[in-house]
Amino acid sequence: MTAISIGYFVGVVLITLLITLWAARNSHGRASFYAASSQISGWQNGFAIAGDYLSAGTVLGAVGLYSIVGVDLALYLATPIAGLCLMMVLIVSPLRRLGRYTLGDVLGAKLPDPRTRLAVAVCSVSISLVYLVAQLVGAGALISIVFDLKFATAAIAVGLLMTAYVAFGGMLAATWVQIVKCALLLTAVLFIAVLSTLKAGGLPALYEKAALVNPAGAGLFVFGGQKMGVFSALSLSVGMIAGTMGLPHLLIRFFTVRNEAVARRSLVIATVLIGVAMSAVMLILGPAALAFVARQPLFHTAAGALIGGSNMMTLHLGRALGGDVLFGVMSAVAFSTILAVVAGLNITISSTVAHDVFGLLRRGAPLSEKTELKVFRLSAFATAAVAVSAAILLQNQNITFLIVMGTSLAASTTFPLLIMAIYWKRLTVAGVMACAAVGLLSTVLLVVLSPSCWVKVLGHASAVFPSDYPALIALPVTLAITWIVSTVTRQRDSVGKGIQSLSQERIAGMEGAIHHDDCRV
Amino acid sequence: MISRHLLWKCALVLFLLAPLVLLEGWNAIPPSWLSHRMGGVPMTAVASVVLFLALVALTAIYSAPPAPPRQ
Repeated sequence: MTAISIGYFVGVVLITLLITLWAARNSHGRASFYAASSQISGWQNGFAIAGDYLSAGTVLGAVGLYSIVGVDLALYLATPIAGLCLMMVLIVSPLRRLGRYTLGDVLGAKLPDPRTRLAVAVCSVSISLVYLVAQLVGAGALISIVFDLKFATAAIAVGLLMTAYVAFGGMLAATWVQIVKCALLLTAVLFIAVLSTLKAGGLPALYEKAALVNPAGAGLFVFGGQKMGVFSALSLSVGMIAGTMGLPHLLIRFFTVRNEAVARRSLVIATVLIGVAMSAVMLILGPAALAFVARQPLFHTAAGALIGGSNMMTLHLGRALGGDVLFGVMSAVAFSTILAVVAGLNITISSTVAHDVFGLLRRGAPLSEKTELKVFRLSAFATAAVAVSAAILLQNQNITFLIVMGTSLAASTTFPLLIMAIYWKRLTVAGVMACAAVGLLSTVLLVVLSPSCWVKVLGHASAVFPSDYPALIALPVTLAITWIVSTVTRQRDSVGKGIQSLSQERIAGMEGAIHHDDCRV
Repeated sequence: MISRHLLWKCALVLFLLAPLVLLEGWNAIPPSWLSHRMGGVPMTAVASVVLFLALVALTAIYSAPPAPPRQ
C-alpha cells in the first residue's frame, strides 16, 4: 500500500464518520432512525437506491465475470433492470401507500395479525443476513489484500464501521453514505471507461486487443457461449427479476420519501444510474479488463488465478491504467461500496427486529419509542457480531451459493408475499405463514443440493439438483401452496363465521321469543 | 386483482427480455446481424446496451401516475 492509497482510504472513512456525526445530531425518534423522517428527496433516494443495489459483487464482480462468460453477462445485468421496471409497475405505489417503516407494516396493513408481521420479519431478516454475510466475506477478502491485513481484522473493522453508521446515525447516515458511495462509484466507473478507451486507441482497438488476449478470441462476443441450458436460463431470469423486486433493503428505501410520486421518481433516477453503470461494464469495462488485466502475470498468482478473486478485476484494471494512484482511488471506492451496502442491510435487520419482532415478544404490551430505539441499537450490534463471526467462519469457502441464496430467498418469500398481499384479497394469515415457511425451506434445500454448494462446498461428485438457480421451482411451489392454504383456511373461517353468526341469530331469536312469551304472560 | 392494464405493462417488459433468454437458454441460432460489428464494436455488446436503455426508458414511462378513472 502506498501513502496515497492510505490517504484515500482514511478520507473515505473520515467522510462517512462525519456524515454519521451530523446524522446523529439530526436524528431523533423512531421515524428518523427507521425512515429518515420520510424527508429524503427523490434525487437523494434515487442515488441511495442505486448505492444500495450496486454492491461490490454487482459492479466489481460483473467486470470479473465478463472475462469468463463474455457478452452472456447481459442476462445477469438485464434481468435486475427488468426487475426494477416491474417493481415500478406492481410494487412501489402500493408499498409506499401501505407501509411506514418495514415490510411488516405493509403486510400488517392488509392482514392485521401478529403472525403476519412475524412471518415477514423472519423472511426479511433471513434474506438480509445471508446477503450481509456474503458481502462481509467478499469485503474481508478484498480489504485484507488491498491493505495487507488479516481477514478477521478486516471483517471486524467493516463490522464496527457499519454498526457506528446504523446505531448512531440511523437511516439518515446510511442514506448519505449510500449517496456518497454511488457518486464515487459512478465517477470512478466512467473515468476508468474513458481512460481504457483512450489507452487502447478507441473502442474498436479495445475489442481487438481483448479478443487477441483471450483464448476464446471473438467467441466471447457471441451470445450463448456459456451453454447455460433452458432450465438454468429461465430460472436465473425468474430469480433475478423476482429477487430484485423482493429485496427488503431496497424496498424499505421507499419509506424514506414523502409520498408515492417521489417514490416513483426516485426509482426512475436509480434505474437510470444502475443502467449507466451496467452499460459501462458491458460496453467498456468488461473488454478493458480482458485487454489490460487478463493474462498479465503481474495480476495473477503462480497458479494462474487472479490475485484476490474476480471482485479485484476492476482494482487491477485501475492499477494497469493509472498505477498506484488509480489503484488507491479504486480501493477507496470499493471500500465505500462495501460500507454503504452493509449499512443498508444492517439497518433493514435492526429495524425489523426492533419494530416487528420485539413488539410481538412483549405480547402486545405498548413499547415506548425510547425502548424501541434501544432495541434497534442493540440489534445493530448483534447483527454485526453474528454476521462478522459467520464471515470469519466462511472465509475459506466458495460463497457463490450465499449470493444466489440471498436473491433466491427474496424471489420465493418477500416477492410472493408482497404481490399476493397487494393484489389478492383472499390471502389469509395461514397463507402468509405457509408462504414464508415453504419459500424459505424450499430455497435453502434446493441451494444446498445445487452444484455451487453440494459439489463445490460439500465435496460430492455430482449435484442432486442440476441448476444453481432454484427460483423456477421454489417460486411456483410457494405460490401454489399459499393459494391452497389460503383457499382452505378462508373456507374454514367462513364456515366457522357462518356457524357462529347462525348461532348468534338463533340465540337472538330464542331470546326474542322468550321476551315475547314473557310479555304475553 | 392485477388489472389488465398492469398485465400488459409487465408483458411488454418480459417481451423485451425474451430474445436474450431464448438465445442463452435454447442456444437458438442468432440472427445474422448480431455477428456484425458497428463501428468496430460487436453488435451483441451494442444490442445489450440498447436493451438496458430500453428497460430504463420503460421504467421512466411507467413512472407516470395512473390516469384518474373516467366519469
